[in-house]
Amino acid sequence: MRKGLMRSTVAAVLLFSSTPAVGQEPQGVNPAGGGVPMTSLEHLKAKSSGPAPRTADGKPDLSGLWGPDRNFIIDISAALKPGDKLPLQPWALKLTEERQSKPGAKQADPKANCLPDGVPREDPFPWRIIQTPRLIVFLFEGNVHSYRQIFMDGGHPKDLDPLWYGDSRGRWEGDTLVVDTVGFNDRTWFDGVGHPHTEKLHVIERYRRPDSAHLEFEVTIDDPGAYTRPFTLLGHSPLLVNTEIMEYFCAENGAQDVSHMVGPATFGKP
Amino acid sequence: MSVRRICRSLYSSVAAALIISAPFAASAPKEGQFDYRDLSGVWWVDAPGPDKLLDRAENTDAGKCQTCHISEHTVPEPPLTLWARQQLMIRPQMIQNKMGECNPIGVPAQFWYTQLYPFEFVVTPGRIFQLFEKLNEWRVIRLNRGHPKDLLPTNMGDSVGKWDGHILVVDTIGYNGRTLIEPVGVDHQMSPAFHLVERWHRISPNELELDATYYDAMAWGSQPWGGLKKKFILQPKMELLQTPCSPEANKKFDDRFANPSVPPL
Repeated sequence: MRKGLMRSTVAAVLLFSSTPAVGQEPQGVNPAGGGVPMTSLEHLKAKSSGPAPRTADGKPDLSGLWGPDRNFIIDISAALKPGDKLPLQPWALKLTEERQSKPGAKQADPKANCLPDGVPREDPFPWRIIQTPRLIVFLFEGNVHSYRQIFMDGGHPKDLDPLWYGDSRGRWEGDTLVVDTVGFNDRTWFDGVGHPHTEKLHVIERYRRPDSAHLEFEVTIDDPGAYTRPFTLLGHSPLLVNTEIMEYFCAENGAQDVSHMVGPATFGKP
Repeated sequence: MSVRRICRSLYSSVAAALIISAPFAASAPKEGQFDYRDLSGVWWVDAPGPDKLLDRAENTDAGKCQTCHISEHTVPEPPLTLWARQQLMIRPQMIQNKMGECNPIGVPAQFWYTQLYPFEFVVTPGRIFQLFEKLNEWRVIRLNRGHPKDLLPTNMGDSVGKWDGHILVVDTIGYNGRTLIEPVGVDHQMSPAFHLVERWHRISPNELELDATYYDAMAWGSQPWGGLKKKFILQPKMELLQTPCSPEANKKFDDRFANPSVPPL
């Protein structure tokens, strides 16, 4: 029960605060441009690490329960390489600024309406990877408590309907899992401050497990409908131990009462 | 023979027995040419059709869907307690709220939806994950522990499984009583005392049988409700579609399949 209250409280603070909480400051930006794991799950992080495990067929085993990366929750520009900026097209920049300034803009956030996060947006909750040779699945505690499938055989179908998570096909390049996703709908936000995308979005993710306790990933976003060029985000997830994914259903949680979301999508930015 | 020799002899016999039996204990016994303990794959009732959901809906046999409105139990529901009879009075409002507001479905209600949506078992050491296409829900069946003592009531309950010969027996308790037992055919909600026992049996390389029994002391007293039997066919080329709940997606489902006798709100 205490774990559930803690996770819900953290989620509520992150999602609904428009000013920083007393005593809270930004969690620090990794000078190397990497992500910052959630400190609320600090006590659940694996305390030691060893070599990354491998599956029976010799591939790195990414299976496990992983913590979120804060930069993929609030503002993806914090996950850019140092010196890089989000290359928004003028209309996309204008829309983002409107979302960050208009009262009530949060009500349009798909997450506030219990719709899926899409890719690569994260929730402040654990998530699990289950890995088989044919299929890799991401299970989410948040993100409408759903799952995302990465098919390891075959290419993208030809006649794709626009999907919340797109169509993901994976392959191994050495010890790196490369996930290629197309076929998105344009209804999700990249993050809590409202960075948009279009149906032209093409995402390439690269996952590595350098040791047993850490997951590193690079997300290259190519959306010629909203951005002037591709850009790459860097992320990190810590392995979590002695816990499990809890049940969390957005529609029931009571936190998504959109009519009360009168603020803009700022998350502490002035 | 000295006591020491007797003990050594006994120890040797036990050790030998353990060594001989170890390989058999470690590997899953095979039945025919398939591993009955490998439930992996996409499974659907015996109506394989086009891959796309809308195509599936359009091509589902119209006569078959008439049966979508009734329970699939082969035996009648036990007599209801007073509590359950009181639930009947709030059913229409409850059903509409559940289906229209993207509330969790859970098991056993998800089994009813397998008439229209497939599911997938993903088998990993110590856990079997069941992914449902309907609402993109999922649950975990733990093979490496029993039910915890301090169980937090949830919509999906807590599912633990163990092998009984060739059959996976899944026991689920710990419901919060907020989900439907079945979306149609059972006119009252489950109570927090609900207890589900499933028996999954892979009877051939591409056939999987489910035999489920419901227990609910608040709804039926001491009488169980068994007889829910379904057969699923392996769908090697099928991939689960994305069907997360969104208001418009749910409305399309309601318009197409919901019980027309339930008045809209």
